[in-house]
Amino acid sequence: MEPEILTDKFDQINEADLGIPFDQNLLWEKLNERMTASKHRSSGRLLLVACFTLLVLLIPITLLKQNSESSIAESDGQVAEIQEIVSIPQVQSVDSTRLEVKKNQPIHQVVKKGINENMTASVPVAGISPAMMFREAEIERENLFTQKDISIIQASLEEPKIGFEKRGLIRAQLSPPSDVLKVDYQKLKIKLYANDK
Amino acid sequence: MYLVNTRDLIEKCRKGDQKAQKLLFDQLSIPMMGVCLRYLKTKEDAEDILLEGFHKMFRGLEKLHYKSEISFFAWVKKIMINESLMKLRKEKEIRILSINEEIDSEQDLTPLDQMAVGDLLKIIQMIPVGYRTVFNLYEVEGYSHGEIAEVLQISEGTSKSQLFKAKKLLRELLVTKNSGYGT
Repeated sequence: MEPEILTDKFDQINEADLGIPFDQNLLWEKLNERMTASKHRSSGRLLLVACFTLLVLLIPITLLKQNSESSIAESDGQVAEIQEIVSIPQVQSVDSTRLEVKKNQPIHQVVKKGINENMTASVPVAGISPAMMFREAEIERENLFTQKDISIIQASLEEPKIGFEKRGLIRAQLSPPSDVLKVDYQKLKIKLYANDK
Repeated sequence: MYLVNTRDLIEKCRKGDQKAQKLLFDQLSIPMMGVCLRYLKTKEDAEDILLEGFHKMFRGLEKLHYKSEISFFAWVKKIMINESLMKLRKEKEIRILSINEEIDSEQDLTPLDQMAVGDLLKIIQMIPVGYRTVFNLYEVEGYSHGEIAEVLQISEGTSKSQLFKAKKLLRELLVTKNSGYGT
């Protein structure tokens, strides 16, 4: 017996040959329902995957942001050694946070509300704000900031916690944008020490 | 059965045109139901697999590289066969004992060729699922024993033996049927 013969026979089968009642329209409706349900399931799954992906992306971004705002990198030679403590009454905001600053050389300019490259600071770990603000009036050194410097510098620590006697770097962000200001960020380095109290 | 403007119909189906999908379903559902009925035990199972097969077919159209109506028809049929076999496996309907028996010479089943397709379908449905599956795959679909062995995870010898038994049983049923006609 040639398989082709049987194959052809079955390929040519008609409704009556099926030997059962065959409601094409009813089956089409069922198929349609099945396809619609499947589409909804797919959409639901897609939505779920999208939400999950967004969540997965958001977590590291949030962590990264927190880290960049509150982290301190190792300082370099520009940071002076600690000799004595000088108080800066205002760093984060006027009269709000007290930052103790140590220096080993005379800080020719430790202004009331400012900070410069020679300053080293001893601060409580928890007391460092990722966004310390310095007003133009508080920073007078020309090699750090020009006359055109702006009113606000946002400084962030490159490590979330400052260990005792650990050096750190504050990175500053200026507003308006730095390309307008041409600020030498490398010079804007201070040494921060955790307060071991 | 060959389709008219299948390529256009497929293109429209790909774009989600429901009318085209319905038309394709109308053209293919009867022969595909015939496929499912040859493999599965009940009408309900056959319908379920038919719908599942069409669902897969519509989803698969996206990736289908259309060549001809014949190859498209064969592709759809293959989906139905695979779905049917999966169903049988899932329901553990295929129970094939791996016994290699001495197989007699080829059974002459010429009378089957001469039967009306409806009658043929009926007597195929009367034989056990294991026999039927091997018979369908070999005699209707044109699989080799090697392919059947792979699909059903049995030995080639078992496939041959099942086919032999299937043919023998079909012959007996045919004789019974014919004598029944005579009475």
